[in-house]
Amino acid sequence: MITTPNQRALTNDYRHPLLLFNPSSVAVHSPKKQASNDINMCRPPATNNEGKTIKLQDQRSTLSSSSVSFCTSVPVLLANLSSIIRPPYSLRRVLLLLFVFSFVSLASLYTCHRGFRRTIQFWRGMTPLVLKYKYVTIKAEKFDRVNPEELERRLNIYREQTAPKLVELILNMKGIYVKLGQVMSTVGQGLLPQVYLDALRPLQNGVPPRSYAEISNIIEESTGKSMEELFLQFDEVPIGSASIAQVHRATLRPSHSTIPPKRVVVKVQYPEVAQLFDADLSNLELATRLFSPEYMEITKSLRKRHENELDFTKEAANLIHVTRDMQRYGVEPSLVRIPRVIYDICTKDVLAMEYLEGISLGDAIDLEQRRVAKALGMHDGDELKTALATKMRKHFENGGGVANNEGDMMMLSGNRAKLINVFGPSAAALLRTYALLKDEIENVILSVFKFGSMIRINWMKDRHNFDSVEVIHDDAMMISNNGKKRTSRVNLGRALKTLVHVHGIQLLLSGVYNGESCIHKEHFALFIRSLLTISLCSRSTPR
Amino acid sequence: MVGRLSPHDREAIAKTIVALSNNDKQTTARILRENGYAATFRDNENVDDATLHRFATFCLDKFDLSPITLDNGEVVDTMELFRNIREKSIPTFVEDGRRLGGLLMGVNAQAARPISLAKEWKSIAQQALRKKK
Repeated sequence: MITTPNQRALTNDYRHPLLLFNPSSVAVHSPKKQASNDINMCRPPATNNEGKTIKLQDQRSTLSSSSVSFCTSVPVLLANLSSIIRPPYSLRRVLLLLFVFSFVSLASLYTCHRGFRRTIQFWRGMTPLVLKYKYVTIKAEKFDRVNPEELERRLNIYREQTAPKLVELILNMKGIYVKLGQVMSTVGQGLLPQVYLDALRPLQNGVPPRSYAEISNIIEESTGKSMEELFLQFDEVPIGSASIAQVHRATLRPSHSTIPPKRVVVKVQYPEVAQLFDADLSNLELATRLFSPEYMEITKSLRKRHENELDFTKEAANLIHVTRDMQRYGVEPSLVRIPRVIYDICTKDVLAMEYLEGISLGDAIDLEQRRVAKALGMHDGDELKTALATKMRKHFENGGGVANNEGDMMMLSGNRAKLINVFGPSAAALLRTYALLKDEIENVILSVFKFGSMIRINWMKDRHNFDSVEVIHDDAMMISNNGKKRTSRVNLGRALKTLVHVHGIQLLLSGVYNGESCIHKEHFALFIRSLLTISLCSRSTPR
Repeated sequence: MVGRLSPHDREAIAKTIVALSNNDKQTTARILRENGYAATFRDNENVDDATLHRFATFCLDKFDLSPITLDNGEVVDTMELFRNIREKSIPTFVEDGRRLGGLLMGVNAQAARPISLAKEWKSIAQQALRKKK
């Protein structure tokens, strides 16, 4: 090929520096020397301006003598250096070092970082379940090639085996997992298999409470004050314990008593819940992606839903906002009563509120059902509930909405139901009145006993000089726990109407609403902040 | 838990409730679509008005498990609808409305007093919309 001298100069001067470098002459320590040489055989040799092939020594002199910039010579120098320096460790040693380093790092992370520990704990429990699930599905679909019915049968066996393990894992993990388990057991109908729903249902009854020592530590650390400074008396046994917090009754020291009733409820958040929230939700999202990617949106919405719930100062602010709004719309305190926040004891983890006496909505429903069951001659409320569930399902399958005759859902199977169907709502109303009257009589008897107890208390007060109000209050609570206190004064139908109305005002006019659930309606712990029960409280208070 | 809704979300809920109480399927579906609600039914991106209306009913009105008649005239069992629908995007007002609405409908059903939330809240929703104007 004939080239002009200028073209050749361009070719050599602008050749990439690595091409100027001939590895065959320097890669003396390379085990792949032969291979390099083979490669070099395929490479066109470097030529000088006259078109003659030049050796490395000549190339170096060419480089130094020509006007090659410093930048272009740096890679050459580096390559020369790397070939001179022998690697200090063999590959095996490097791998061993890497392994030790990773092990130490992971061990330190596991010891010091709670989120990481939590992740390990979660996946240690979940991995066998995930693997087994994958094994069952892959075996059935790819190897045995079974039909969908057989696959479903195998999955049902898998679910029955794994459901108790899942609940055990949730209970071990505590915190947000319990909360999610409770939510899923309630609203998971149609989303989760029935086996899981049944296994998760016991979570609705709360979780084992934490000890008083632990709770008092949290309060003292969070408020910066001792328990003695804050409270005159503090019930060591909580009135409720839920997934993220537990609630105790207490009496404030007079200096903290900013509202007339000194009795308060103190809600204490378990410290690990907020700390581990992110790690927990991330693990859950990953598990959802593996098991049911179609429900990712729901899992993401759970994060959004719960992240504001973990700061009690926000809850206190919202509660104050709700109270003001409800007063503005004229429903507080005439229709509902919202507990006042005790500002002195309000931190991210601890929230004290006014104690309102009353019965929970769940209790009110149970009591009514027991009364009706008794009036219908059924064994207990459960029998009525089963029949009621069937009746309600039929109602929903017919389009749902308002029942034609309020309360006729209670009138169920058997000849009595037929009779009631004939006589319609009047018979239902009559039956309820009968049930209520029976309770009125019981209440009269109870009040006679209570009168006796008050006399005893007053007598004791004279002798022992303690606060009779508190004792009478406890006495009243004892009656309440027996399920017979002032029950006849709760008009459940009216209370529910009020409840729906007030929530409508909150949601549509105020924009701040109480989203706490009656899924925990059995818990006194949640009754303190749930308007669902607050409406009942106002009605259950004797005039 | 105490939740908060923006004025825009409140307006969207109020409009949905009024549309639901009037049994206006087109308007209900339009409000949901305009606010970013997206779902697929049998892997079809175009979910019809009847399906969206039924979903809104579950969130803010009542438990209606009766078979649903799709816009193309096909009658589908509600459980089949549930099995084959995948929600892709859920606006905040639907999420919050569903949470509160579900609780209220649920507790009323437990007490054997099923309700229609849209009917109960219609006057309040209209009041909210009047205030907005």
